[in-house]
Amino acid sequence: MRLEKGVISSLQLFFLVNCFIQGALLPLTFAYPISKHDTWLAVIAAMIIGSVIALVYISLANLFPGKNFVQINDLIYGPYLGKFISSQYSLFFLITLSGYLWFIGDFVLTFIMPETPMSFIMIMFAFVCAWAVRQGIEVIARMSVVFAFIPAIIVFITSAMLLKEMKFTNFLPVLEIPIRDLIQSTHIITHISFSQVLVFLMIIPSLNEQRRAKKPILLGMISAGLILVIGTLRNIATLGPLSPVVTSPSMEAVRLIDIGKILTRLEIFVAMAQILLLFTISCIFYYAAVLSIAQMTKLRTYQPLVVIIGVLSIVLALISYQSRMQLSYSIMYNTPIISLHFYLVLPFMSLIVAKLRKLPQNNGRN
Amino acid sequence: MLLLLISAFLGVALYEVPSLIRNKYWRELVVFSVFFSFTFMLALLQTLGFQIPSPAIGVDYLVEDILHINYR
Amino acid sequence: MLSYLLSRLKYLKLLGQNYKLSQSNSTASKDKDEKSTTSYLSASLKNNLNLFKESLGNNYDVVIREFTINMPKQVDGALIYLTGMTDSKIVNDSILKPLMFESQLDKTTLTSKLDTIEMIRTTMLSVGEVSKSNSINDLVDNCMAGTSILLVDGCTEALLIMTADWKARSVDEPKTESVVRGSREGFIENLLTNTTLLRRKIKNPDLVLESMKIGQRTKTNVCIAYIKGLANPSLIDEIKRRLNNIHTDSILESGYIEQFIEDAPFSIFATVGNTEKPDSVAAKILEGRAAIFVDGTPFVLTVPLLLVENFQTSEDYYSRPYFVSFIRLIRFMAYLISILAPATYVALTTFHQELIPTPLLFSMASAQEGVPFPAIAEAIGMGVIFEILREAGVRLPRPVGQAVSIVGALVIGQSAVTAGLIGAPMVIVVALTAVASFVVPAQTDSGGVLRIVFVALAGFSGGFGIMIGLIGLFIHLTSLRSFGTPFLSPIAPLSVADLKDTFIRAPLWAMITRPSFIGSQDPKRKDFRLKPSPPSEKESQSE
Repeated sequence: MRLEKGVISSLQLFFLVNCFIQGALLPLTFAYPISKHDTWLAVIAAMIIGSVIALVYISLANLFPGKNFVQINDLIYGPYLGKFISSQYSLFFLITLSGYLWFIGDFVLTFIMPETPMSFIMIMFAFVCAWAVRQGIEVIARMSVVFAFIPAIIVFITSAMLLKEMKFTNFLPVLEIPIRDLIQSTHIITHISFSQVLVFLMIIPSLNEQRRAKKPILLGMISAGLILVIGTLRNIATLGPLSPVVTSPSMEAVRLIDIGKILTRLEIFVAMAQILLLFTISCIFYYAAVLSIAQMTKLRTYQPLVVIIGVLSIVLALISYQSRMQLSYSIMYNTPIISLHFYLVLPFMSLIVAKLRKLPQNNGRN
Repeated sequence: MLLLLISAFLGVALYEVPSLIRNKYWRELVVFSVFFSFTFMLALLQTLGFQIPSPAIGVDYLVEDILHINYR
Repeated sequence: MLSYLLSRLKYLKLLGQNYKLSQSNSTASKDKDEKSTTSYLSASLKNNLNLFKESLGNNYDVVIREFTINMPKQVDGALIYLTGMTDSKIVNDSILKPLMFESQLDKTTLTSKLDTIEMIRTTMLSVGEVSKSNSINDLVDNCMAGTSILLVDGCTEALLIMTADWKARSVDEPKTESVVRGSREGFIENLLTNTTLLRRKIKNPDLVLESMKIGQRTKTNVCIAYIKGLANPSLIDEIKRRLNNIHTDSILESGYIEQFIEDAPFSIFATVGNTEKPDSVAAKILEGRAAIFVDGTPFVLTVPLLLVENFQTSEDYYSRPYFVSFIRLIRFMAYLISILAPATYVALTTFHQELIPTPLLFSMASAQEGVPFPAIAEAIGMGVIFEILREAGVRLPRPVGQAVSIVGALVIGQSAVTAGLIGAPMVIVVALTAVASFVVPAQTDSGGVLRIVFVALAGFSGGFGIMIGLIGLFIHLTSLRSFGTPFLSPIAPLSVADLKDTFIRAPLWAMITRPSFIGSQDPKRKDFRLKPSPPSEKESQSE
């Protein structure tokens, strides 16, 4: 019996992935201080590497059609080791969710509502996320179709409006920074956006055509990746040497738009669009966390866990992070390394073990 | 603040538990109560002013000072 | 807390009791039904009349006319009908006259082995609709609906003669949906007239009109209309299932039905549509929907309803596409303004003054100077006052209504600003909101609720609150379904082909397919290549 009864189409999966990757425009801030004006190169590199890694996830999903990640782990590693690995992933989803909650709290606090307690913002945000997650993946996927368009259009329009302010000499000299920094920056971007596609292993079983996940996911990643590249190019060309310094390059770049003294302060639209995207990302992680826990404990429905896990993630976020400096420090220097374990090592191992044990032959056809 | 916290958690419990009992979802109720009590404990400690060690700082410590595999 | 728990427990207990009660009630009523259906007509006219007098009581509008039927041998008969609900001309000329004077019986019919009642039916009555029945209950029910009952001595069956006719309003221009171009007829209170109006638009035997009776006491006629082969059979089954589940004593208006069959009773959005215009019902039925006619009301329900239908009017399809598309966009914008304008104003003045361009900020600040209330109190107060004025204007007779609006506009608007109670910008915002809310009449009620929710959110947490509210609204809309069809359907889930009739209205010759979520039974609506074009070179030369 499946926990999730909703079914999504491959078009919806495409837009879901698109939203998911596009949402990295704000968190990309963490990469600017490392790679400076070559960040756009890092984004392209991360896009390519991320797509390759995504192929691993997709082939893992294709080996076990109709099974979500927890079930796949159980099949590959047996009930006990599999449970252990799955619980690591549940914890990982939960912590990522709390990180996103904290990030959006901090973002809103900085740019929209300076004098509000952060817990209040996080509770409001988590409330709508919980609402969406309770409605199931179908509703989240349908919403993402609309949510994907708005930020993309805003990125294009603001880029066009900023053409006057852009100085393309800002890109020169290309590859000035040491290659080590570029690698680190690429790693950070992969970590905060592209390789998080892993979480879709919980969602692919809801797809109406089981084995057709490859095209929508890769297309979604690449199309959204190109939008990210455009956004990054816009920020660097506009801000130049300022881009590594400011709190949020996207916001600051768009703030410079001034057309006839009427079209000003457009960054509020960027903020609104990014809230939509961060909402989608949080929902996906939220959903994955709840679903994986419910699957591990073999529940009949995941609904009752939704609210309490939301509360738990808020509490976790409040405990974990004290300042923006701390969050950005750990994202810049530490968490990319530790997350290699989740993004690269375990999925590769699962794939190899599955091939060695020839599992799909036994389980694929029933 | 404490009252607010307790009433919020009570609200969550009242929202979820009756339907679980009505449907006889005992397993779900157990898992729910485990998470509920864990979250409540964390939140209570946080509100009462105990310093709970931050997991994020813990990860930083693990990577930097034990494994020495961080960047830079 | 404990008292709350106790009250909740009590509530649960009450619920249980009610449930048990209703169960026992329903079984009791079933028993009663069965008992009453067991009484049938006897052979004696006197007994039968007594039975009828007993069950019809001494109602003053019941007429029991006893007479002698002029057959070769004289037979006693009686005609029972309601005066106000039958056509006296039919009763006099087509029933009583032939029965009493103009017997057409000749030898052959007399020698045939038909019984008396069958003979009367076949040879003596000149009325279109005549049927037979022997159950008292059935007869009385039909009599209440305007049918005349003919009892004949010595027969255990009675004839039901369709004579129903009563005074009704004539077909008139609908009050709620007036049009510049298009048919001006609207439904009236008579079910038969309404279905006829529809039948006149769709002259096709595939148009099915299925009738049923709902309401144990009112016995209201309800009619489902759909086109066989276009409407999804599962949709029709679902409608019938829901209608059959209505066990209530009265149905007085289609609103009763709507509230019993809608998918989301707690939602502020209606998931069942209603309209007064035969042409829009015809258009909806032709897209694969079903309509529910209820006797006694000009408002016809249509299901499934999509959100975008609220932004469409029948006139959209009669005018040329360019301006209509523009108007469509205006309608969407007006709806957004009507729910968001006060909230945005509150958020801007309370939290985000830096977003207002500086000259505007100065003029707003000077207008706001000396106003004693915070923006949120102003917005909610003015919103409530506006709703009061509107309600007063709607219910009052027209001349008085105008007086109310003058008082509202001049006294409350103008004087409150001059007295410094309310800022002028707030009055402008509320007026704009008010005008915008009338652009989409079907959503005026949901708009009123949403407006207050958004103002409250904006007052507490500014732009972020509005954003959260919008996301919440979107989640709610996305999760709604109307009879299995996603409520937000051409937008989310996205159906690119259906966007031709959502934000814009494509030319008619380009709208080849029906909406994919509704008309999937027979997707193709018209031919390709209907695009009009001047005769090509070759043709004109050959001419």
